[in-house]
Amino acid sequence: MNGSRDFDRIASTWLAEGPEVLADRVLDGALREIHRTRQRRRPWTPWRTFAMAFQPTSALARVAAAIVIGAVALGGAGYLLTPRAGTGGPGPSASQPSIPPATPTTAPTAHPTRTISGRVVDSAGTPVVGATVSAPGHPDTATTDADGRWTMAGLDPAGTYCLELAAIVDHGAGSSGPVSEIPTTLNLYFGRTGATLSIDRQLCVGPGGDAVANVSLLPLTPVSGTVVTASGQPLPVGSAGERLTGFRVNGIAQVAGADGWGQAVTQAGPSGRFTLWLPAGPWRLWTLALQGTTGSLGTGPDIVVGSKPITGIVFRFDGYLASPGPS
Amino acid sequence: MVSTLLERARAGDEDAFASLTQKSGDRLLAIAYRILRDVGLAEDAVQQTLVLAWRALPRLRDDDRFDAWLHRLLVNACYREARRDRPRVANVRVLSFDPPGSDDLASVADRDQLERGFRRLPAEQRAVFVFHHYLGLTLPEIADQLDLPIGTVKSRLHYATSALRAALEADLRPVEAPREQLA
Repeated sequence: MNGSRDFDRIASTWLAEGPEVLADRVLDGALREIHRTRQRRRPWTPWRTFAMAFQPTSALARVAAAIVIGAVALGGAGYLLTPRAGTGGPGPSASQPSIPPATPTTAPTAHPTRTISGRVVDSAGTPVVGATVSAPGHPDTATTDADGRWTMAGLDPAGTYCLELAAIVDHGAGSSGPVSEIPTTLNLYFGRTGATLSIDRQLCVGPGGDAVANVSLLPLTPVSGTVVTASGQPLPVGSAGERLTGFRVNGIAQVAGADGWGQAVTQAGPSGRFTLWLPAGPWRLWTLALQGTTGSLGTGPDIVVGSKPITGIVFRFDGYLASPGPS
Repeated sequence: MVSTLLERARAGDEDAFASLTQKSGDRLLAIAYRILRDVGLAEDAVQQTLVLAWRALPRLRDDDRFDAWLHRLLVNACYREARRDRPRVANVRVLSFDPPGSDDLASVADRDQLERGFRRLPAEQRAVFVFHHYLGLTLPEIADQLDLPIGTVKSRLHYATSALRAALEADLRPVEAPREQLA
């Protein structure tokens, strides 16, 4: 970004996007409420209301009232000034389970070439077989064996290698249980629920000797919901017309982890329902629906995934469906 | 014309008020959405604003300040809505990227970073940012419309801008964030 002018341009472009027409039902609702609501003909003041509600008639009563009001005011000030638990700023949150880190370690030795190796296991310690490990810039790809181990040799000790781990687990269509497990960290890409799951993890190994990069995977929790139209109807359904096909066929839901970047991809089904499988932690859901050369981006909501399934997520498309449909 | 409608509405003419709201409703929704980033919350804020405006209209002394007065009611309604918890409904915005390519993806990433950064801002800072960058109002005009000291407007805009610039610049860094340096 080059200076404030670019920022102003990006910000203005971003702010220009969004609805600019108030729905009739909102206006109608307001007018119905207005029909039942009387206008205020006289200025309203808190003191006037207080005076009407409380009018001490004797000097003694006025003194007593002053004492009471003073005490209340002092008490309120004391309350406001008293430190209380839970107001000291953000701290560790019990609702955000910590993600155990991968366990990369290094063991530098003097070699003209270096070897990077590791092991991939799931959260129960079971080896993940058949995962591939690659390093962009290096021609070879390693595959995990029956014990989940992999080795990549012949690497330059002076080089930096950002490894990518990818595993594809085929659970077959119609699988109703957890799809699989994914690594502790990021750059996650996985495909359609119930069919295949690919895992992509990036680890960077700086200059040095031999290195070991072990990866532990985390269990997944289902997060489900629906994609609906502005009127709350599931999206898409056949009677809505072919123009909705773009959402059904190309619509994907993506997620980004608050502790980094990654994405999980799935599709809403014919009834508009979708299910994502995510590891524990804070996540933000968003949709990206492609229609040929244009697309629609839906942001939010923020959720915290734990061990229990999350249901009832709603993505509501406003206005977009009125546009000409995709091919 | 507006002045005539205001006079009739102030006297209790609901039809006149309906005409006024039809003129102002779209603008109010556009502003509320950009502050709240949620169509449902924005619609609620607009409804509250219109009902409050109807109730308080007889107290409006200066017809020329109707829009500014309405904006202030709307912003206060947005503050209330921003404090409501409705975390699990996403409103889908239309973004065009034509044709798809790396630049367009970067643009989508910019928008996403802005969206994330903006949602982290207090509603008070969002409002000033929207009034400046969306409505194109100057700082004195914002101070006048929101009945704020000019220094407060400046500081809110400064903090909002700094936070959003930081969000964008963070996005421009290489993808080292998710990486783990091993050696």
